[in-house]
Amino acid sequence: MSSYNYIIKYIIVGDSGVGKSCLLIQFTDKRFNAGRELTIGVEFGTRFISVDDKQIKLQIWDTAGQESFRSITQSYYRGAAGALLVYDISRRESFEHISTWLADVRRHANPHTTIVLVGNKSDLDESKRQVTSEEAERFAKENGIALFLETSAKSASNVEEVFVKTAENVYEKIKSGEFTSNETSGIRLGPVQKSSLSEETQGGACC
Amino acid sequence: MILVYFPNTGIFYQFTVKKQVKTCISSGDSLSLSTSPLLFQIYIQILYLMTYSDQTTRLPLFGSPIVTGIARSSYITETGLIIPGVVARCFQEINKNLKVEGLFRRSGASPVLNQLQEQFERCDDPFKVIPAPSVTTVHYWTGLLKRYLQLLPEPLIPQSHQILFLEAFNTERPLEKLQEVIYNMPLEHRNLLIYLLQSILNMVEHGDTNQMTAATMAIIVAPTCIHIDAVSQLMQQSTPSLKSTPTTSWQKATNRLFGFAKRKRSSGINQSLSSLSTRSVPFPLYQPQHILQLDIVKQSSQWTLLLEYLITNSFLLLKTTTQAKAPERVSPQYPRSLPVIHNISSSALSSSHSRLSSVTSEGKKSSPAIDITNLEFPASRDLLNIFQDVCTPVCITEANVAAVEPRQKYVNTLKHWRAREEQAILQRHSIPDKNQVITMEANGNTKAMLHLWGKKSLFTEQTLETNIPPSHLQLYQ
Repeated sequence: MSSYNYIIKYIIVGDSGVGKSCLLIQFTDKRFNAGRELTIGVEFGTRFISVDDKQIKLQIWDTAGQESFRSITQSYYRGAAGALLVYDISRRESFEHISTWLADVRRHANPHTTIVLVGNKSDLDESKRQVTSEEAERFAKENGIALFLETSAKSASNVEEVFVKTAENVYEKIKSGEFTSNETSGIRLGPVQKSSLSEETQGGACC
Repeated sequence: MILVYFPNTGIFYQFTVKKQVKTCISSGDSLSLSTSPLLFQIYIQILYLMTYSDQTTRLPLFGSPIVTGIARSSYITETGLIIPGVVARCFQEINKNLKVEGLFRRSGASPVLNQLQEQFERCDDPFKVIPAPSVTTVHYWTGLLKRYLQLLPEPLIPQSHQILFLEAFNTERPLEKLQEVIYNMPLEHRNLLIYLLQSILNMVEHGDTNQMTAATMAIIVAPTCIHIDAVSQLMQQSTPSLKSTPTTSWQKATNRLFGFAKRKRSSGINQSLSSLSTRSVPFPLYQPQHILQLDIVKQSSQWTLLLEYLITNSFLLLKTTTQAKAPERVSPQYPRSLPVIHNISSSALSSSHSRLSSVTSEGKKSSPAIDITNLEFPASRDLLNIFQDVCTPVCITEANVAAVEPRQKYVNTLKHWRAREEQAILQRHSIPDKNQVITMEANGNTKAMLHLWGKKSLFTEQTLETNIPPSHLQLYQ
């Protein structure tokens, strides 16, 4: 199935050990490994989803959270249509650093990039929680972040939703013309879209 | 008499030293400089003078070379390695918390970390720093340590040695070669590297509780030890100019890009429904610099493997280092060095560190005169004989010096240095990349110190032949 209408580029950023790679692996491979492996620089995965009957290929760049990799990972922000800012609900520091990550993304990515706040590890016992969802929601509102969700890469709760809702938001922007398909917006037309576009323009007469 | 110029302060310090030491320093004999513990101590004393003779010339702890950290306060480990006090302090806390999950991997809140760093900057004795109540987890101490290593002007594995490390690792008997390369590192870098590797091995042994393995530790430590950050920043800086001027790096980038495209096409790759790999890069969306970046990522995975190897073999490294050092120690020219360790306040410390002595009290900071009897190193009494007027560093302005001696003399000295350096490098059968030398120069707020060390050819042929700005005058004789 290599036919798709759009390729959309995502990046996942956040502190070390919040579960960025686990989210990605849960989304692409539907499995969970209690994360003992660290990301070197960047890794990436792809998956097809359909939004509004369009096939969309998500190209997801998973960055290393270690500070020493920061300047490498920043160069991957450019041309991201979606950015997932991930924190760990059981570690307050990781939530406090979200503002830094947000500033980083705003500085290096496209101004129209859909930014999503993700509180990971929601499967943990409520007693371990250090960041309430109300607080995170408030933070998202105050900082103009489009979406906020709490996920669990372990139980797969909300993982699908995060990636799909982001894609829907991006797709809305494509439809409204806010995003055009070029390299800096992080969206490209797939082979299907190109041909269907030409069909539409050609076929306009016969309908 | 030796004049040492410190570019960041603009002050010349004048030292009178005994003849044999003088010969050794002025001839730029880097091998004996970096391997003789006595010369190392002299070097530290000079740094000490710089740090304490005048508040305005005081170097910061974070962002200065390792020797500055040692000059502020140093510790000798039970394995006989001299390391900066700040590192010892971090490990004192870390060693109490070896079972914390995600040790070294997780991070603390950055404002609290900044505050902790500021405390260390203000207080000369790292063991007197009382952390704020907000320092709740061990992650602040690992964060502080990582930050210290990241801010070193010269990476823990010096840039000039990085290629040698990679080469050694790719040989058939890596351990032997790596031992040799590590032995040839500057003394303070070698000490700290071996100590770090051994401490990490110690942490990894608690892997079942802290979830950290040698491999994951290596991923964290590798970029910190080689400053991969600096490499990628250089690349980012060079990117804008790629478009306007066709440079070699531009050609390199395009070659890579097209090479990449060809390879992709020929392999006829089909993106699977879901794939997770760093190799299958869809190139058309990305700019050339992304391909270059991937090279950095690839290189850092090489370093990761190398570091993992070093961590698991760290005890072998120390063993051979001390063996290799042995012939150096019987050198008849110098008095015995690194002798008795004064175990002054070991009760206050963690078991792995013994304190040498305390020089860093508040009182001494205010008076520029240094009480030699109280100096950090036990061999200070020997040093007293070497430094004759150590208490009165003479400040000479640049203008004065220019008038005293003709320029040609130090040009000759520098040339002589360089010849010796190259000879030493050739003896080691490998020549460091010239580009690396240039980046080293760009680093240097501490050129004087590097030079005293006889660091690898900081002066390229160009700077020798053309114009030597005053700031390049390092050692004046």
